[in-house]
Amino acid sequence: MRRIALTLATLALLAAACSSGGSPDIEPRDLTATSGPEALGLSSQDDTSSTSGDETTTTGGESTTTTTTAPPAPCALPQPLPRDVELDPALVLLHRATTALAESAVGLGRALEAAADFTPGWGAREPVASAFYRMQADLYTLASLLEQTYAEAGATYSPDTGWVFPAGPYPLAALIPPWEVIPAFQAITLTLFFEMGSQADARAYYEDGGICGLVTAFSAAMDQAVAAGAP
Amino acid sequence: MPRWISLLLLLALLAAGCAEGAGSGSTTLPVTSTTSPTTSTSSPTTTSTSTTTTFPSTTTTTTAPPSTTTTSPTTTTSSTTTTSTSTTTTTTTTTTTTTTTTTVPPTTTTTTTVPPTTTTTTTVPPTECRAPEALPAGVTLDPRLVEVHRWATAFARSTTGVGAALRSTGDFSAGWGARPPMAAAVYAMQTDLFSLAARIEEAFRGDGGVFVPGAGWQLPDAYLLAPLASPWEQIPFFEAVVLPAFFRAGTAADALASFESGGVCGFATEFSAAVDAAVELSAG
Repeated sequence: MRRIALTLATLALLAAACSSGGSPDIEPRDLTATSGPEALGLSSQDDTSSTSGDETTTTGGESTTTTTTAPPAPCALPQPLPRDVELDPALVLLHRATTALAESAVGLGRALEAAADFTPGWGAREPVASAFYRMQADLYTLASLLEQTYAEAGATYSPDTGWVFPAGPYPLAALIPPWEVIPAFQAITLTLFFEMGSQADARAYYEDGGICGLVTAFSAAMDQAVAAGAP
Repeated sequence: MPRWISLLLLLALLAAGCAEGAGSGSTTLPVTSTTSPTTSTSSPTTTSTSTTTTFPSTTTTTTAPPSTTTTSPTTTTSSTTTTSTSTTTTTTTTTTTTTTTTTVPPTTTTTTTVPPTTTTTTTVPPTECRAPEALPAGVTLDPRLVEVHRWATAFARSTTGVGAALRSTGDFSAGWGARPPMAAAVYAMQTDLFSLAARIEEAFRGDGGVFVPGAGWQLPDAYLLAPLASPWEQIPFFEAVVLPAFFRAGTAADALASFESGGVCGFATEFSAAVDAAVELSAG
């Protein structure tokens, strides 16, 4: 019996060791790597119209300040850039990308209001489908641009240490926390979002469950970066 | 025993008689018998001496140990018994060992679970999420198509990376898609997908295409990049239906099934096929 127990215990330890040890970390793709495709341009910042729906949303232009378009939605946009202040061009570019994300998230909210059918698969049907596409496209455009900007600033990333920047203050580092939330947003938040079975639930989740939360976090981080970067 | 006693008495009597006949002291009798056999042979008493040879009585006395010897064989026997008992015990132990051997199969079961993981990791990825075919040599293509081809290749590779990460994931409790190694793999796949989508969108718009929600892309006639419209229009379905179902999988088997045949890998394959079709049309 003791030998059996010992054998089983050994097997259990081996199994535990196997399950915990054998999983290699896959590092995020290096956008600055020469082997991969070049970093993409900001599709929505260059566009003056979005496919997000019936209404044309202005996302391009320097002083984008689409603040006027912003409805009383819970997805906050970044503050407009200060006038007559010399800012890091990378910061300006990221500000535009962050604004584009917030605007398309607002567009998703409008699409939710307009949708009537919340049977399974509603997220892939109009009017939500194209609004959601736009938000996702803007999110990953912002993420890619952020990675590229960090890499150009000499930062390195590893799953263990996260982003490590060269010595000295780096205002755009404020955007790291929301950037790090993207995988959870994709795998958890959106999964739950599309399981909502009614407009009220979907709307509530959109406002309180993390969709606007991530957008607002990016906008707040952007404001912080601008404040830190403005002389 | 009674026979021994009577025999002893008889021998004693005979010895006494012999001693008396030899005319020596009874105590010296043994000495005589050993040292001077001649004496025995010399006289008819020799017969009785020959009887003396049978004197095992003395011998018997000396051979008393035999009884000890007899006992010791008994001891030996009992030790043999013990030995055989221990042999029996050994046999029992052997039986226990056999039982242990019966317990071993779980090990075999555990071992059999591991190999597929290793084997699949190396084998499956290249065949699953197909990347576009290499661009034809010596043919001038629309630079935007070349760019789309590069991003489609990146997307197929990073989707394959999701499969590899999936196979090395051990914990499929809720939220596994947001934890390493999946998190980074999914992030890379998504980034590549939307970079690809942006390139296509840009090309379509540049060529006068218009996207109409609910109706899809309205593109110029005989448009060489038209094959790309279909997978592009599938992106919301991929994002809102396929991926949530994928992340809902609660076991490695379910997640793998969702990845392989539930539309994750298939979507990359579909994009690759569309790029191949567009390249073929353009090279045509």
